[in-house]
Amino acid sequence: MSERADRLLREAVRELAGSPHQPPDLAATAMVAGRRMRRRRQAVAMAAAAVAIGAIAAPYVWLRPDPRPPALSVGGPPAATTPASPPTRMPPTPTPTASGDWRDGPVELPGGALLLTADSPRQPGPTWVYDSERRRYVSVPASYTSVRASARLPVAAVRRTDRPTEIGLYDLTTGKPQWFRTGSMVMAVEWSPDGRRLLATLRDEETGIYSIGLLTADGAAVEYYPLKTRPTGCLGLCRFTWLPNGREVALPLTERVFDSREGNRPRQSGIQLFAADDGMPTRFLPVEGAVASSAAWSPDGSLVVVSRSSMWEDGGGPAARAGGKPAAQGGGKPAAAGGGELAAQVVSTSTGKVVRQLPSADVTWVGTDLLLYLDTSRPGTLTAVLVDPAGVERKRVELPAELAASYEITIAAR
Amino acid sequence: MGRASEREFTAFVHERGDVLLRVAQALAGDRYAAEDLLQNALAKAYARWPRIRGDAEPYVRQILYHDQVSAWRRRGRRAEVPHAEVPEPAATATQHDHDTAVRMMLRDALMMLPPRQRAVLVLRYLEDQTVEQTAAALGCRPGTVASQASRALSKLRELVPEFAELTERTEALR
Repeated sequence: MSERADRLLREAVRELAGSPHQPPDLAATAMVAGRRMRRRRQAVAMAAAAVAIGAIAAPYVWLRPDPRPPALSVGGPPAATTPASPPTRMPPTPTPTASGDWRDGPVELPGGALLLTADSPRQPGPTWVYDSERRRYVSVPASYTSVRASARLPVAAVRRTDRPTEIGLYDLTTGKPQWFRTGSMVMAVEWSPDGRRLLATLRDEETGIYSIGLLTADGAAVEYYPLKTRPTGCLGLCRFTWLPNGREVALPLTERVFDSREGNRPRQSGIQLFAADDGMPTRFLPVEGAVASSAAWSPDGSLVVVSRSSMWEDGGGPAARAGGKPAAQGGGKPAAAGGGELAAQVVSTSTGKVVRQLPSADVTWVGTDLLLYLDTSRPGTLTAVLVDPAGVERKRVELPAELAASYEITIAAR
Repeated sequence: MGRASEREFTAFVHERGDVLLRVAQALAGDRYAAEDLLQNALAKAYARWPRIRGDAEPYVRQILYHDQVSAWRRRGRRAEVPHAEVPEPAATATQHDHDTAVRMMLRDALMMLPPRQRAVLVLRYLEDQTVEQTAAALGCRPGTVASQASRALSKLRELVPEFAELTERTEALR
């Protein structure tokens, strides 16, 4: 190839690469996902030990076809109200079912919450999903790469690698899925607060435009609502979450969306809300950080738990914005040269002010003033910890040992 | 992993994130797909951080290339964009204008290549990797790299006749 042709091709490849700037929370979001991956691998390595511990904690039997109604585990263990500092003694475990197998009854968690799904310690393996009608956990085959159960209906949204543009509604009773084509890549799905509508984050492969996909649990058809905005960057991954009102969805953006009436305004990152049923921008919340799931919003919507890197904490960060005065995007700079820490924060949605640091951003609000997170800091154990928004620990319950090896667990508030 | 590892990883992403995102964008072709691609690669890197901390960047790059090609394999070959969509250069262009037009057409044409061929060109022309290094990054033999590069260049010549003219003219003079 000639030097000129070589140069032009080289320049073209460089132009294609462009000069992009990483989203502010790239590291923080990667760490959250990386931790889950690591847990999955540790799960395999620790499976034997976990089983041994499980045998001590509660008598388990292997799941078998069982026509008898499962025993219902009612109530939890004695309250173990502890200070915020890590306890040194073993926390209590949920009351075992009559059969001794956690799958035979709901695994009750502090705050009235319920273990909704847990995937298998051995991968590939099934995902165990709580069937509210049979009041026990049923298995969804390992061929589904993503299983998201409704907290209210005996149905789970499933995805498969070989069906990247489709969403399946898996009937827990019949064990059969019904597939719905979306025409776009399905990036994530989230059930609405009432558990009846499924929100899909859809991305068009050619244009990169994100759309809201809505699917009702009765499975009529998928409705599409492209976002009524020009493309803008997401803070971390572009994934919609529901607001507790069930009418709006949220996307953490690196730049605020404006309609033409507002004219030019400074760029700023925050959470942009859209109407779920038409994709129109509704509100902008001065909150920086990634929202792990719809369960991270407090029931009244006044608080949200986000994860973000402390390297962006300074005058431009939400920690310093008690008055709600937003800062221009990019105003943040590393708190310490060359690094920062991943922080989970309870943030006021109206002001962006950080209310409290938390040990984890992967939380489930179980009431207006209580939230639950899973503590994985002790190897081979998984502990549900109930805290209030002030960070004070209210209760701590260790889950069945087998669950400590699960890669992904979801929790439902009741 | 402790806070020290988190700080290390965050510092790594802070320092190298833009460069890695640039590679991801060249591979994926658009910003959003690139961010997804890089996020996933970084998550995998963090999950293995204690083992790769001293050599994280090559590890992340390898995942980027692997994931991009694998994703394409899973999805199957994309429909090719019609040839007519590549813009024509102005008829009375200076060499500079002509080069600019060819470069723009090449950029569009690169997006029409299958991801594996594009990955080879990105490694060779953006990252200045040798054939052997490219083969190592893609997990294939050097001969495969050569054949993929050859096919990619043929396709670019087909899509951008002005680029073909440049290469053919030189070859005729040799």
